[in-house]
Amino acid sequence: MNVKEKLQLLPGTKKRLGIRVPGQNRFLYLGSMIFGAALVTTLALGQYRDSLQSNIKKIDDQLVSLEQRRDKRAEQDLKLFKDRIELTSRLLSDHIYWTKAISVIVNLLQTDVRFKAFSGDASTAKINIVLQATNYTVLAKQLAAFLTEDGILDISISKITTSSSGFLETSLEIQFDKSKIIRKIK
Amino acid sequence: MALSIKNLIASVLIAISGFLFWTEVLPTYGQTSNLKTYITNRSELLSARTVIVKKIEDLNRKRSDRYIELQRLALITPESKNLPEIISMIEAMFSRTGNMLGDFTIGDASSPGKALRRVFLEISSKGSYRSSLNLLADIEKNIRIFDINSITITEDPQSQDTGLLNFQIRGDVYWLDQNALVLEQSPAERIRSGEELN
Repeated sequence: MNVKEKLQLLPGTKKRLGIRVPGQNRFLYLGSMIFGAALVTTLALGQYRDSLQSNIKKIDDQLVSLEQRRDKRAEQDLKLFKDRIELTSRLLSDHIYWTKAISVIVNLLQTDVRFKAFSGDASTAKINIVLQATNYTVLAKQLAAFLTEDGILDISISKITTSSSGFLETSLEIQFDKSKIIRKIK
Repeated sequence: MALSIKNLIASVLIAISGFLFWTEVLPTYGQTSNLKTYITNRSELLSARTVIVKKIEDLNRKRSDRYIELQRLALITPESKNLPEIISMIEAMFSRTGNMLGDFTIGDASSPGKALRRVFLEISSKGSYRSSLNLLADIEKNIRIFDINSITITEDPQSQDTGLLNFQIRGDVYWLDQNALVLEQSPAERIRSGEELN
């Protein structure tokens, strides 16, 4: 019997079955997509980081050049100049004008009243006046006149005596508001 | 290709992706966030400094333009005590107003370390009511500031017929110590003005 005519139970060559199952590559595609996305993101973020770093370098360079442009001595001079102006402005605004105080007091002076002495102290904001008046009514009017002035805060009166010439003599202590009596109105 | 090999490759790719995500993407993302904040801060600093430098340049230019006017400040508060100038100034005022200059005391009334220094003056004089008022007005208008802290006007008992008054004033004249002014600046101000940068 010929060999070819014999029954062959096992195949002579190994042959894979080419059965295609739909969606069998899905996992591979998914993996590739995720990998691609990760790769692109890594590269893009790297580029973005590099551009940010280059921006920082640019800003730092600008800061350095700005710093080199500064004239520190001139700045110091300006600062001193500003302080000087502030000090001078303060001095000018606090400048004391006794002519104003005297003018206020004299304008309130009543007839039949005479000043014997006048003294003022800016630090305590007080004016002391030794005055003579012809009688008590005149003296009372004088006190009332002083109290009509806005800048006069309080008046103290000492012992009233009668002089040899018949005048009443006393001394007044006037407490005043510095801003209204010895400073210029701004 | 066998399905198992495809699955294996896919798994390896996903694993590499995960690795890249954890080791590259996440740290870089964090870095970029920090860098963005840093850039914002530096940009703000740069624009603030640019504005300041511009302002300083403008101020310097204006100061140069108005140099003569600003020199008058030195007359209000000179940079030295200048006692001879004070004496001649007082003498000139009294002779202008007709008051007779009597006793005259000059002393230093400055607080130590302060930039604004004071010269104390105590002056006694005699004059009429009008001349005393003129003298006060002259002192108040003087370019070098003279603050009268206390004033006393009394009748002169020896010259009651002539109506002369005893006139006494105490006050301060000022001068500016530039060295003390520099020292009065706080360290923060000195940093701002550039002294301690770099």
